[in-house]
Amino acid sequence: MARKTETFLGRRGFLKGAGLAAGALAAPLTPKIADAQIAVPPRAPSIPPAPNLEAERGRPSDIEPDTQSSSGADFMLDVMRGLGIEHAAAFVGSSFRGLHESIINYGMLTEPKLDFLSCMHEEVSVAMCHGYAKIAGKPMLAMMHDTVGLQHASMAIYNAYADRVPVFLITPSAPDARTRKTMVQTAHSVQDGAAIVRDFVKWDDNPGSLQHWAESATRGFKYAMTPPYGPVLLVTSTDLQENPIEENPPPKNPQPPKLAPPQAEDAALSDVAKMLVAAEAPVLAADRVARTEAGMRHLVELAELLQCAVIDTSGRMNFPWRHPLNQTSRSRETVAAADVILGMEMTDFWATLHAYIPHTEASFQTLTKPGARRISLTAVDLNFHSNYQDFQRYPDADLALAGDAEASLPSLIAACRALIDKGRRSAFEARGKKLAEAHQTALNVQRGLAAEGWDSQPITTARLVMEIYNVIKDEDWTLASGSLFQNMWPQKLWHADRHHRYIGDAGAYGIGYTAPAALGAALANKGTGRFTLSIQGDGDLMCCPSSLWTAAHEKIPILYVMHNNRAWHQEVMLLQQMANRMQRGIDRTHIGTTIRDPNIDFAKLAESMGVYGQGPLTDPKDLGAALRRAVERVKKGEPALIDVVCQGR
Amino acid sequence: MMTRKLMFLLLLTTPALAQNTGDPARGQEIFLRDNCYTCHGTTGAGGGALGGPPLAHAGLSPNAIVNELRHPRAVMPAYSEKVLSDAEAADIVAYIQSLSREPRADAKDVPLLNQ
Repeated sequence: MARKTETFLGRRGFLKGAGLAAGALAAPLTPKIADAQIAVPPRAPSIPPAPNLEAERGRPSDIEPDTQSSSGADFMLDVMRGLGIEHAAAFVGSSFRGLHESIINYGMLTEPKLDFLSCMHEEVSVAMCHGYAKIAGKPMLAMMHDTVGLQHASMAIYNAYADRVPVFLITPSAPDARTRKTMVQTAHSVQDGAAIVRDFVKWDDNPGSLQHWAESATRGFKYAMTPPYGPVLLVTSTDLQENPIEENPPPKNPQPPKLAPPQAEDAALSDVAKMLVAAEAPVLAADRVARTEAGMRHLVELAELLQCAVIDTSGRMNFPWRHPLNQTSRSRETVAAADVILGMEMTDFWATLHAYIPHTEASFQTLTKPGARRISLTAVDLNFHSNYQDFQRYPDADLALAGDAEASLPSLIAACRALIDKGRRSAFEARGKKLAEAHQTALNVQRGLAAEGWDSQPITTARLVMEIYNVIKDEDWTLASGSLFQNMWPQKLWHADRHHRYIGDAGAYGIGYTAPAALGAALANKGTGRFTLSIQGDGDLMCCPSSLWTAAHEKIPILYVMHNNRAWHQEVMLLQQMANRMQRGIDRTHIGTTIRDPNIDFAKLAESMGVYGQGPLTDPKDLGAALRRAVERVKKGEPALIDVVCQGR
Repeated sequence: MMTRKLMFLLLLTTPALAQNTGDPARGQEIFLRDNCYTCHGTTGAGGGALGGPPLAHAGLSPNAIVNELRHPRAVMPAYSEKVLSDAEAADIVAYIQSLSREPRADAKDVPLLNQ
């Protein structure tokens, strides 16, 4: 290792000199601090003569000051900029100080910019990357302190993995015991830095040189951005980051390739087309089909061509929520009537085909009628991991196509179009009219249910959701939180027909995702004129409350509306079930499941971190005005939070 | 599994129900105390797919309500006599019946639901 000197006092040399100067000032004062009556002595010379300085350092005069003019981190940063990475989120950690210094003094000051986002927990950093990628369509970087930072981040990484989202991850390593600087660094050192998360990242590497790092970064980016998307991790040596670039020949930055997603085989798609066109009641089921706006347009085109039912289980914004062919609100009867079901990028195709029946031995019932053909099309079949069971129950399928649904849809549409004659088209139109009527009937039923208890307190989730919609519907909005805990009211009642309207949920149901992931989505929307909204669970926010500080500090506009039911509501019900099975009553099941005594004042929590806050609101009549005030604040470019006390679901 | 005979016996052992002598005010207290409202809504409006079904205006007979309390078909916790007395069950029935006597909410009267 060799560091070179460019000037007598480089950056580090200057700091050491300044420290000595300060020491020279402080030394005569120290014994006199307690005696305020004694006059301060004359000011000492700012920098002692060079011979004295070297003597105080206790180092021979032939050793050069510890400065350098290049670093491996600057090279790494250029590689990442070449891959289109614009942001790095991190909770500060000295093991990546090389990269940190490079980002703030080089990446943030030169084009194309790569900026640093300050986070207070690695779970926030990674979840921000998660939400960002689902809007931006590309990864951003999260840096995690070696060992302890990666341990903090692990749940968020699993969420991103299970949600098929690209994230670019770096955790440092200090493999050489001789160069570790402190006992802390040794405690954080690890033989295999990626081992703890290897089961739920798509790929990882531990490069031994800058050239190796550049190739692995480009390879990792390629894997992350090839469906099924996923997080990738580079274990990055501190020495490689911090030391000057001395490789010979100098490391070269590989040309990032243009990526093509894997399409399912044409012959198999042709078979699928034959089944769909011949079917009397075909159903298209979609969970993470639309990676982009084009994916949603393709699915609409196929559904309208066939005039068939669509069930959107909302892993992404796959299909317009109020499209007449959208039968999601009546998915059970739709599946039961189907003779061909094509499940595309389904997280849990098995669950779509079955109903859970409690209190029975089997616990489930097959929904499909005998002879119904089941087809799966998913890129997840191309990604093989074993340990974590996010692949869910095995769905019986008559035909299983390995390929990306969005990339395969154009060929499937073309194959269907070629098979449709005048007679089929007429039959399809009649089918489409019936489905449109069924959609409208289901919508009216949902509206009736939403009207029940409209003015009640605690405020109903339907009232909450519709009051929000009323103030954002004319904006170019994104709902960046999952709506499972609000009964999917947005999907049932709102108009949504753009891909960025909804980004799905956590992927692995890890609580603590929503607040930071929504913030990441808001970061991607920043500057585009879009309005980002999160309907925020109280339990989720308290996992990562510092998301609010990051929102204020980084000036990211987002509206958090608290769905504050003062409990981990699902757990209340599940614990009550257990208590009743034991016949011991439920009067103690609030212990550990509720967030009361004291109630959390979320508006004050927000204000304490520089976020505009209002609430708690308990009267539904106050909601509209409060939301409008908050929307105006967000449109001015700042984060805001409205605390609404609501019913459980 | 509850047999028909057992179910019949159960119905015979709920005199408060048969006479419908429950107290709706007390029923509301229990409904809130035992967190029924968190799935079914404070006014019995229901909680959607992951919550409980609507109770107000659902056309449920007193016996149907108690049967569901004692032997739920779905994921609701089962409330046996040991944790919810017959008198308390009757109070809940009275509360749900009082909700059903209120005018049924009509979405057409709610502008926010017609957009």
